[in-house]
Amino acid sequence: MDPRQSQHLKPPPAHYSRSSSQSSSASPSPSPSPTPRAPVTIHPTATIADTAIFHGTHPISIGAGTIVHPRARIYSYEGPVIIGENCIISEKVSIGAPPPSPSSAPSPSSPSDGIPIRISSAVTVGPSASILPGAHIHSAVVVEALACIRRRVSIGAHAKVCAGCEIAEQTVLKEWVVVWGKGEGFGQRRRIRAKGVVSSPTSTAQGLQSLEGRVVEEARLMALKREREALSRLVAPVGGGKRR
Amino acid sequence: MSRPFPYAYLSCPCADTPMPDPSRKRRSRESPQKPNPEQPHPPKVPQGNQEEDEEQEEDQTFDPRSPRSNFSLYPPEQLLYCEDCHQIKCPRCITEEIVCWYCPSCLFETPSSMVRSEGNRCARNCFNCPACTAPLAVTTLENVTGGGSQQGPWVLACGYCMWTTLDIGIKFDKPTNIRTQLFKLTDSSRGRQMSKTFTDLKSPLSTYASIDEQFAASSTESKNGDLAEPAPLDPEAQFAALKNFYKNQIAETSSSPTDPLGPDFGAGFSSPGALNRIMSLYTSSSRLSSLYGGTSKKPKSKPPVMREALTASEGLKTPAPDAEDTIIQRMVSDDCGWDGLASLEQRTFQAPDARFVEDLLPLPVLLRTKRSKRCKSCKHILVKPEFKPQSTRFRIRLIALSYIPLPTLRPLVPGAHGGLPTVSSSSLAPNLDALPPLRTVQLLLTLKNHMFDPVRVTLATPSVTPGRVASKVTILCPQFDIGANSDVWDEALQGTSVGDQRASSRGGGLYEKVAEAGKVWDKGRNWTTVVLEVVPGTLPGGTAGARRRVQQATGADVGGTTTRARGGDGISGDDDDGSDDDALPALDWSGQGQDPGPQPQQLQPDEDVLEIPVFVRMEWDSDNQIDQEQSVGRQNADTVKRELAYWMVLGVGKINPKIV
Repeated sequence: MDPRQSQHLKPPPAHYSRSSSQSSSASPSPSPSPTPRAPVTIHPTATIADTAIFHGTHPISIGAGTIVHPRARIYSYEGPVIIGENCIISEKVSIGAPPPSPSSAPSPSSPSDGIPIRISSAVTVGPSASILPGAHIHSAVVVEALACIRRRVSIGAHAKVCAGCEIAEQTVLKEWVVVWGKGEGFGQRRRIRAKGVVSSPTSTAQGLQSLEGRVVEEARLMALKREREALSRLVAPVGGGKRR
Repeated sequence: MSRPFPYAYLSCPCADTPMPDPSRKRRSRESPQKPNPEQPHPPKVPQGNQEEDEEQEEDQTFDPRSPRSNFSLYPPEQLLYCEDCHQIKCPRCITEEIVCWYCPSCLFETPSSMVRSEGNRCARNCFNCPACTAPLAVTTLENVTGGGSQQGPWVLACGYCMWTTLDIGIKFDKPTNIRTQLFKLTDSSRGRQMSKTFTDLKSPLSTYASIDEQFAASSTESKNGDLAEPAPLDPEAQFAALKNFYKNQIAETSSSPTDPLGPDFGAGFSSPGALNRIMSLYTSSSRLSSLYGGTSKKPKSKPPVMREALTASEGLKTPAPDAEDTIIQRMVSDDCGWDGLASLEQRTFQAPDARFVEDLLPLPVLLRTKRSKRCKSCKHILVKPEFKPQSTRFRIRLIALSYIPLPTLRPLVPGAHGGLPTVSSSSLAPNLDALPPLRTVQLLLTLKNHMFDPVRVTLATPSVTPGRVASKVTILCPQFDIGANSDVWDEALQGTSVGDQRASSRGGGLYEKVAEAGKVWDKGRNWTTVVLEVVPGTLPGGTAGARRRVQQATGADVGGTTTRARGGDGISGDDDDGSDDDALPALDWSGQGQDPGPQPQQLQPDEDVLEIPVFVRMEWDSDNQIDQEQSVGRQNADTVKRELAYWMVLGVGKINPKIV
């Protein structure tokens, strides 16, 4: 993504003044230095709400067709944030770690030593979910509302983290795994979704050729595509923020 | 007691009146009596001086800590009221009747005959996810497979954990009658060879129409079983076979017609009422003896021996010799792992041999019931819901709160009106989860009347709460009136004068308003607020040390008093109180300087919860409904003086173990 920084798309100044003023009101830091603006690379077909916040020192890049809802916060203080194509980042999502509070001026470390957040294509991140640095989220993953992805977690493709679930640090989730369940007495559980033809005793005895479990996932991704099309009209900034 | 502090519970008087007495009911109809005749006169409380009548009522003081009281304490909104008996009715003094069965998911009513035959699960399209119990949705796959509109295979899919019936390799041809489709699929797969006779079985609860059919079925089935012996029965068919077998066994072994097993098991074996009779078998000793062959009385001829199921046709299931090994091999294999095993919660409602996630079948939704409720003693209907499952209305609903005042408790914050504590004064509010002992807390008790008659209320409380932790309680104004629940507009229209007056008293004298003895704190259209003064006692962890010190000086044995159980099991209440009263001053002032380390091993669970028993007695004049027809002209004689009395428990907070 680094070569694309040359074609760094300059966001409209209104957007940035608003985001910086919001952040200054949100975190009243005594130092007068403004919050650092992250070098953001946004694909022209992406839709970014004008109240989304991009802060940090490392580059942030957002791929084609991705939708970022209002009040999503993307921080790149500890490393670059790379969001792939056709993702949906919902409201109040927090990606990356917020700036360290004691020293409001973060150390200007070089991009090489940061730990990146990589979000691949067609990922859905639900409202108020938080993703901490080092996370690597593969394609077509669903992270539901209020879920928490801790540092250096790798989530395989087509996995799902259900609402409110917390993935501990340095966990590696395999592909097609569903993490669900929360609460006392029951705890978190995992489940592997069927992706191929399942030969259960029921279906074999029946003698019928069952469908692959993958078709359900394909149907979901198609629905996701339609959702994105509708959202791009809804979320798009009202005044001049249309970057198409 | 899971509510946050402060709370108020009402005690249903049924705890003191074990048997519903018809004579009492009649008497109460003519001249309403006190609900519990064991308490002949309510405690007279003259102006907050409760010392004398506390001695009178000592043995009758409701103890919120006694093990029995848990069963009679209810939140006020859960109680009903019988207009015939003029009494509070708790869930223990009502009977329930099922009005209708319905599926909570599709809101379709199921006739009770069908519930009896098909079981209490939705027979239509409603299913729960076998993995996570979320409701399943019927979805089509036509988008992907490219079929026409409303065509193509259908699956059940869970929106939460993304489980689909494709996970177990099942798809449906049409989106309706999923349950029968699913039954056919699972049934034909599990017991293909012998399903001929069991395909008509819809569920394990279904019964044969006649005995002949049952015999015919078992005979043909046994033939089939001989032909294909190793074919396993599916669990439902196995259950049916076992049931048939034991029914026959009972019919054969119960030789004499007087044998209680004969009519009890044979005829009504599948009826829901059979359980009652079975239970009564074990309670009555004579039946018990006959069950075991009549050892006491006349020795019968040798009772025929009931045998167990011997063949697969009778429901015997012999697992394959390598069944366990194959299961273990499957568990060990890489594609199963921990996540492939079904959890205990998942297996609860599945077939007994479902061990893996792939074995789980979608669960039809359990039906729910609407119930009407009757008073146990007079059979008066208290609650009657609408029959339709879609409707949430009630035809009759006599909830207690429309007859008795609703008690609410809140701490009195100095310097602010109790209802609206400002931000500055909120720090002054006592922390109810850690009340400092021996420090006075003032509380506001509001009683809100929902009747259309004004009510005169008398409150009484023991001056010292029962139990080891003796807290002192004083109701500053134990006798007061509550206005009628008149038109809401009355208050609004009078609001100018009253509001001004109140505003001046609140606004000007914000800090001057001090709780006075004998005076009501505040009063509204249909509510009255009085002040309670509570001095929380010290916890036994602290008192024990003090007590030990005191009694070491006197040379008395201390073990008995400190380690005995709370709540007066075996120990009478006033003895408890008395000794605590003795110990309290010793700690109270002499023990101030010591460090009363918390000794949790001596503190019983929940003993630090400060609960105040309050006796409520209310009097009001109500229209005499019986004489209403005869006397056309309304006079004063039409009104009848009624009274109602009950105990209520106010949960104030938790006492801090440390003396601050």
